[in-house]
Amino acid sequence: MLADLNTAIRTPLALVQSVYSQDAAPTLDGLEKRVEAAFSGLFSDASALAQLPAITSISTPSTLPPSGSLVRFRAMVQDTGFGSEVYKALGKNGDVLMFGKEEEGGDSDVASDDYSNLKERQAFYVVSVPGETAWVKENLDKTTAESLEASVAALSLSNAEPTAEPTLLANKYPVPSEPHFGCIVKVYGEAADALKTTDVVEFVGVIGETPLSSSFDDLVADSAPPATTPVPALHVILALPAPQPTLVELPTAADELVRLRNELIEYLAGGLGGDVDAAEWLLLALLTRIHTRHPTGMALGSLSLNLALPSSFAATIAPIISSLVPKTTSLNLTIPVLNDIKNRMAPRNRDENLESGALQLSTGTAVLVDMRGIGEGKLEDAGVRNLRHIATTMAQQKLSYEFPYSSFELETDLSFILLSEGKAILPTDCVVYVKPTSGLAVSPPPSAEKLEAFRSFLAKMKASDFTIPPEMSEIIQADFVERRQKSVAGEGMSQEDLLFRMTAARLMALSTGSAALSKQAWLATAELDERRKDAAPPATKTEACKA
Amino acid sequence: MAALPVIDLGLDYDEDLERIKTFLHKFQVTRPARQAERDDEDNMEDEDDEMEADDVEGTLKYQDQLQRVANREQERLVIDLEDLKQDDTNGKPLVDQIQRNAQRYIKLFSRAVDEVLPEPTCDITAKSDILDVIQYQRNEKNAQNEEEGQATFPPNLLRRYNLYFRPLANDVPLAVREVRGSHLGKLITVRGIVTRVSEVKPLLQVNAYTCDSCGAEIFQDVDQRKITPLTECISDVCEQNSSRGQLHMQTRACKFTPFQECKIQEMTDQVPVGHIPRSMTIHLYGNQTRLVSPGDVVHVGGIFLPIPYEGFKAMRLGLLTDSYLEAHHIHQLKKQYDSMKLTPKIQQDIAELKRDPALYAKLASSIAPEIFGHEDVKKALLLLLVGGVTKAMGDGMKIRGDINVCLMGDPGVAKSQLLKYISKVAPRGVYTTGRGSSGVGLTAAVMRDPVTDEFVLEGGALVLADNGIACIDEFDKMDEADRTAIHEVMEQQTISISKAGITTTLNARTSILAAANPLYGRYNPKISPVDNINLPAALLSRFDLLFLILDTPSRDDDERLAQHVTYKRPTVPKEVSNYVVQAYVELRKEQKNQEDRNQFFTYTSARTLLGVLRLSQALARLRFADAVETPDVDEALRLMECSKASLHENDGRGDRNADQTNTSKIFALIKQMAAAGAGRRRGGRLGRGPAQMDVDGEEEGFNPEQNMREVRERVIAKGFTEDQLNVSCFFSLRFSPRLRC
Repeated sequence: MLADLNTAIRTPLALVQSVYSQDAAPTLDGLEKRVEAAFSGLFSDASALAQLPAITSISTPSTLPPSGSLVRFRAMVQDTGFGSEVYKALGKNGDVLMFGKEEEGGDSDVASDDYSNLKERQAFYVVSVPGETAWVKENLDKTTAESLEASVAALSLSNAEPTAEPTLLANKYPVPSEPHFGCIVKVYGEAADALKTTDVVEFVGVIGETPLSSSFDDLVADSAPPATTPVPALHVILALPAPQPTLVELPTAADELVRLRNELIEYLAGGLGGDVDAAEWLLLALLTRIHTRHPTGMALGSLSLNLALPSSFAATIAPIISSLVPKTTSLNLTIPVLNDIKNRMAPRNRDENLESGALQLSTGTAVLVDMRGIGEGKLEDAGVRNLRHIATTMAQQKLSYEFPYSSFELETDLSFILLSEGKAILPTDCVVYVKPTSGLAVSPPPSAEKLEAFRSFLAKMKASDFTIPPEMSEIIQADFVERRQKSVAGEGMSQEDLLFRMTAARLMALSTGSAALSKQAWLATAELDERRKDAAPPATKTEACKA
Repeated sequence: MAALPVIDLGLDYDEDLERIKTFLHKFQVTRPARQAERDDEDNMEDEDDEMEADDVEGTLKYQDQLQRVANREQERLVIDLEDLKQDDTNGKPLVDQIQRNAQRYIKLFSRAVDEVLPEPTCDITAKSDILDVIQYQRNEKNAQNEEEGQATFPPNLLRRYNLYFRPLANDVPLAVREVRGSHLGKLITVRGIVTRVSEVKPLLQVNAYTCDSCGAEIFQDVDQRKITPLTECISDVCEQNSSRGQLHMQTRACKFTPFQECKIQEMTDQVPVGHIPRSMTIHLYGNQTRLVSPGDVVHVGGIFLPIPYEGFKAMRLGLLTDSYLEAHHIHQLKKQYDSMKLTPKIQQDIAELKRDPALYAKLASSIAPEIFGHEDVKKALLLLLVGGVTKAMGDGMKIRGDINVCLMGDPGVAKSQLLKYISKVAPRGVYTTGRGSSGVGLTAAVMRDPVTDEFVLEGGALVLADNGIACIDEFDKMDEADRTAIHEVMEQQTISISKAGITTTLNARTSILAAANPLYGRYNPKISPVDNINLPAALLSRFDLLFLILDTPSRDDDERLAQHVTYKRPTVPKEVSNYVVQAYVELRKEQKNQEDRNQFFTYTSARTLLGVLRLSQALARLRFADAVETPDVDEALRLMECSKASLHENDGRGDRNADQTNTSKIFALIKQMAAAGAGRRRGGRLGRGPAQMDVDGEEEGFNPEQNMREVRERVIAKGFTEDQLNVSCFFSLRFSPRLRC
């Protein structure tokens, strides 16, 4: 068995061949399944998987393992539009030509009528997970931050020399400023149908290269020989669910959990000038997850937060957030940035190629939208469109992909945190006016163990199931009715208010480590929300009246 | 080397060849195959004109076509699989074979056609195409060569027809993602939207060379995507002399075929939730080129084939193949103007119509038969469809021949229906509303192309309707910019553009059929017609006819209308329909009474009647019944009554003429808050609005002072934006409860 593992790692294609020829009557039918079964048996435990070389965001085509070796790549599916590809699966002498194996001799003798040896596979474009934070990379790829930086430095060096190596496709990564890697994956068998764009998958497969042509009108384009560029390709054998970072155990005792929560709040408040209430809201926003999608398209569970900061206050929450959550990106919006047609928020299909947009992010990514620098100016067509994409994604958790003659709305699950001076121009679920308490001593950064605990806390609470006990829903109903009756016109609680309260209460209960809504959490939320409303500067109460 | 094992698949191509020949010779149209298919569909859209002129009973369809091919009168030869299927003895297995292995059968059919092609019945004349003259001589030479046992011309060079298969009518169109490797080599139909189209280029089919030493003509058949050009002469003469004659390509003797590549993309409804659409390459050869343009929704029937990578690519990887669909039949889901054909049947019908003395009335009443009455309007529309004669004066001036008609009237008098009908029936009809959502609008706009990011001139509805009819609904709600431009269109029939550095004049030779509502939605008989008609005189004068369609309740008309409507619904039995008619007449009477008392809430029109019918049909379906019964109608009427009762309850609060703009909604909301006695007096008065403008102040429990914060919260909670509120505030301050800021 161990020998098998070695074969699988060293010469995966030999193993594929042996899987094929071990039967008395070798057949290509269902071979994908048998190969998948053979490999998944070998790599069922994490230690075996860890022996495989990993492709990471800092890989480059020149630093890839040699063609034909088995690698793993944790990646986000970016473009599923490459379509299927027909290939010759069986060569001379019964060689299996799947998973990147090439026929020796290399002459194409696919007779025009002989289609029995042809099979098909689906080609996708995948990129390293956008917004993945350093600690997750370190945790999963077992590389230290220093080596990462060193590699980045090496990368910039090697980039200086022009090479004839395979190139990466442009416009395929949502966050172009980050170091990233992308390649074509070729998926065999039926696994391909399940993959959607923005899915994060751990691909295990054989690395190789593939030519990529624009394929349109290439009858003419062929006159110039190297019309195609080779790009790295991964022939997928296993598509495993995305690995989660290994986390420390959380304390079970209630009071310890409370203490941990308080420390977390304090840590978050450190970036907000010590405003504990704002830190509470930030914690809730970080815990959001779409838990229910109504068939009508309503997504429950999202809570977009607008932190309205006083002017000339430098909030330092970006590094704090990225030290806590696995995936986060920031968008610094200014008028020129929004108006620049090269900065797309939504992906766009152009010439059968899906160009990425800044919001093409995988589920659970925290998006920090910084609108403090927006200033005054005129939004042009591109700017309005970009802004609208952010607003709809925030409100409905749906991102519209632009295609010629049509657009497609794909579901997202992102946590939005808006930073602005005063209320932001984009509507959010809740606006929190941050009041920095001056004179608060800057608390020392938490220890590594503490950070680990914070991360585990957030990850566990975010993923945890949640129920609302029947007696609680009665309390909520009664509370709602009472407020409605007491209410006078404008101050009454509307359905949207209730929805917001429920979402916030759910997050509040989760943040205290309970998987069911308690009266305590409900009241705490109500209190927090009342304080938030009171903290709103009076100017906003009347600002609308401009007559 | 041992003989390769041969598997007997039970295929005998020679036998098939014989079958094909018999089919081509003998096939006789017994009944128009396509039409028979369509009879049970009863679909107006599908009643297309693709029927070949040959589909007349008793003709030898293919034999006749072959004769025309031989006479150079026809290039496209379409083998309709539907015809083949009708052939009882050998049709069905052949159809199966073709669907499975289409490319092979193209060759077989071509061979069969070559063999059975009759002699041309007309002789070479001076008027003939130059190619025909050459071919004539080649045929002569061919005959000679054959006698002498020399090389003949390849059959491909002599073929002057393009053979296509037309898929069966019941072939289900696939989505791009459903096309799998297993479809390779098969004849399939794919549905999608055309996204890119390449230029049409000549594709080499037969390469011709001449030898510089022996002068022989050498032909090279091209059946792959790449060829290695011949360099040395292979003629007998050169080989015997071993003179190694140099070959030179002779472009004029080569055979080229037009070639075009296009991409289709899946339609929105074909893409599973959460996925993005896929696209596919289509190759168009010969007569199939130039049939599609980007944006067309098409069904493409064709052969799914792999393209082996060649040349440079093959050196790297010889195993991959791209796949494409070789188009054989293209079905446009929206018909183009010039694709209409005059079949003998239609000609016959027209001749018959000509003799009809009541032609005018008959044609007019066949316009929108589902709409009752309005005979004169329909006559006007008929004339609009036919149009007058545009007269060009000697100095280039033109007097338009297109007729412009404006329909104005109460809601629910089927104006929009008439417009939609006309836009559908007119070969080049464009239906749009004055508030068309596109940025292009009615006239034309300079737009940034989404693909190339270049400025392009994009024609609006009026330009698209050039030489056709533009049906503009909600004409009164048109943008001011469009309205001025339309002055030019309606008399000069051009559109002048001067935007973004582009100055041009576009043709817009279009008839305009406009529909407009009177000033306040309904025609108000108490004020003058001029006040009711909400259009400037300059525009009105450009309409040749202006119809005012009013909806005045009158027992006789109502009854006839109701009967007409119920009659048009076959699932409503006679006695039930009588019942509905009575109920409708009652409702109308009620409305008239209410109108007299000046306190009506809803408006009963033909739409109400249709609504009752819809509700009762839904009820019948709930009972799993096929026909509507009286209790269904009763329940539907009760629901109608209930819906009205809820309006009665709201009396005094609701906005009666509820127009649905955001401003009015917000306004209504604020009013509602005020009426509910909300918004207490708090703090000092800062209201800036003039108090005397309090129009609704007399209502009970009305508190004119509103707290702006409350208003704002409510309004925002209702999903309106701040801006919308600001606009409303502005109006509110002018007209209604004072808002405290």
